Amino acid sequence: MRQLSRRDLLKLSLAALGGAAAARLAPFAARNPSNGRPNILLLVFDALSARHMSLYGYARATTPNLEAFAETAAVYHDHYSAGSFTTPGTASILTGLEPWHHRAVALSSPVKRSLSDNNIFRLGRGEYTRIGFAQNLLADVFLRQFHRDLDLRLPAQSFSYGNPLLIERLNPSDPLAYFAFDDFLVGGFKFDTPYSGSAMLGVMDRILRRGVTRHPEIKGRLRAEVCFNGYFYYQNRVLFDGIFNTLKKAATGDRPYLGYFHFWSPHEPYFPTPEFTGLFRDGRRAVEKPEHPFAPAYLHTAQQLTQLQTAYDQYIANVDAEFGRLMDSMSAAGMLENTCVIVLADHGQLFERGVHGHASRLLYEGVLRTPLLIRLPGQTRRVDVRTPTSNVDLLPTLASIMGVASDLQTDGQLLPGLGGVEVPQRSLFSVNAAENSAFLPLTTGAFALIKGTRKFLLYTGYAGLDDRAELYDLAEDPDELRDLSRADPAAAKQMRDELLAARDAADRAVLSADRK
Amino acid sequence: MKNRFPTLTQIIPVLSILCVLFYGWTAVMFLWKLSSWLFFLTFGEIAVLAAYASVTNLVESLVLLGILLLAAALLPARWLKDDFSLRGGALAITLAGSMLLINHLSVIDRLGPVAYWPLWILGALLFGMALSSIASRVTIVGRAIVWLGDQFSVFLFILLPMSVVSIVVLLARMLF
Repeated sequence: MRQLSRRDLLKLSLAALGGAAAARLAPFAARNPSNGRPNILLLVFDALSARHMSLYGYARATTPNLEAFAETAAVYHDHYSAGSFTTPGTASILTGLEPWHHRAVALSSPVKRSLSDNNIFRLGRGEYTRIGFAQNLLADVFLRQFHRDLDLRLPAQSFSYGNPLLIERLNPSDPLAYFAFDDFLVGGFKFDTPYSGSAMLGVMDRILRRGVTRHPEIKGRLRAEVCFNGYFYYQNRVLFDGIFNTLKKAATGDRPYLGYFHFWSPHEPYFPTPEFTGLFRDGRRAVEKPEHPFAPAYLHTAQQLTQLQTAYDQYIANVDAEFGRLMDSMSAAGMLENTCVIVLADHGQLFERGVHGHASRLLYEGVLRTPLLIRLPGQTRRVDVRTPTSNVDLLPTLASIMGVASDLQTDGQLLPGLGGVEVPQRSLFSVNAAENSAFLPLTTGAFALIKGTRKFLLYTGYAGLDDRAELYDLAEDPDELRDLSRADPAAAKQMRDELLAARDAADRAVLSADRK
Repeated sequence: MKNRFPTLTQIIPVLSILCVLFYGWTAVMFLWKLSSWLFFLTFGEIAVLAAYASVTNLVESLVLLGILLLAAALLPARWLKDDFSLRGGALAITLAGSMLLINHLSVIDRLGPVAYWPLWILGALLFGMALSSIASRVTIVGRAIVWLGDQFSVFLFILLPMSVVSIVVLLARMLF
């Protein structure tokens, strides 16, 4: 046996020291599991209109915390939702497809069944812990549909008081169980019929729902501090604390996380907490605009719209404060260092032409223009992107950020500012085809084509109403008051042809695939 | 112990009344929802919803029947057990009917505050007991209830096999 030289001893000593250091570092390696991949945190605010965010120039200071966040993020100024209400809007976020491709066009609809594997969670398969939470039951439909691609699906009533959803105790992994119980037998959503399909479950549900208002945590505080979204009582403070704790736990896992959190707020009904109800008493009135033939029969007065708009702005400020608190908590816990935070909305909200909300056919900027902010880990400066972008762009962009190859179908493009190319004249589409079957051509609906600064609207196929086309120049007329379709018929025709060609091509592709 | 329960021939008319009321209500509501489901669910998926509904109806019918049988076993025999098809039938109509009524009243917002709910339940029970008492004394009412139970029994030949098939379908979905 060879004797150890001094050089060998030195090597051995260094190796031993290195081994000891590695042994000490190993637990950190386990706790910092991303192996080069960042955590992805998607925060989706339901019905958050970019037109009501001071971040995007709104006169009221509704989003100071998002403005602070934006200082080290990519901010998309001309960002659009592909749908005007939760079902198509959320489906486009999750699938990266336009509504006429994913076919979740009717209220409460899931996406086309052959696309059940075509979702953002699939991107993280094997590499990410995928978490999904949606407080809005219409969005939760998709999380149920994509449950095979989720490692953890938080039930919609998580962080709420009481558990009025019976089905979560029965068979949460069957997407059809939601339609059977919460949509029908028990009756969670009651848009089409107010009655419960089951007499006994209906009575039990009513007892549980009434009973929850007597919960010791919320008794006597209703309307002052507790929100009610039609089926859950909750407090945003408790909700955001719950999200923080979920993320904190996820951050200690052996893989990075991909978290999708879809908040009900600031969707109506508006429940700002008392510290926000005094805000914005500035006498600001909703912009007066002419009534629209495709607006619903019931119209709000200008005074009602002004009041609703103020309550909405207060609620946005409230939610913005909770967002700020979440970011502060994550920052203090060192959880932002390796996390990409994305803030967006499924659709916006209208306060014009007598219409409040997003359930009408109208596709004006208030309901389609939504926020998008993306902060990469370690980002130190702000990037402003002013070319039109869409929520369908999220899927390819996520694939890029996560560093995974994607073979999923998408209508989107890699976002500018994150490696994508700015295409000022890109065509973006938004659709409200709620009155169509997903299995038939979308002949009835409101369709929008946004191209550069031009926006073309087509309302077509509605029984008893003639087709109506509108054309606006958003740069010169951001309030969409001057319809240019008659002044510039050639441009209107060109955009109409492009819009209908895209719709018809999508219909043909979907229906021929169905026949096969 | 067996003597404390009514015979099968007395139970079946009561079960048939419960089934017709519960399945019937659900069938009407199902047709109401169908137009919106056709927008986005396939026929196969709608059939699964029907299976869920059918199993639910079976369970709620059996639950209420179980409550009535328990009452028959616990109460003095002449109160309920001895004339179960008549008195049980009257109670079945009242209890299931009150559930349908509560559903309707809550929709039109006439149910009142939750504090009144025990009164509703108490009222339904009292009305049921009164009806069963009247039915045993007033012949035409008693005959009507028994006749209904007998006539509705034919529906069990459709509803029960349908529910059994539904159970198999749902079990298969859960397992595979």
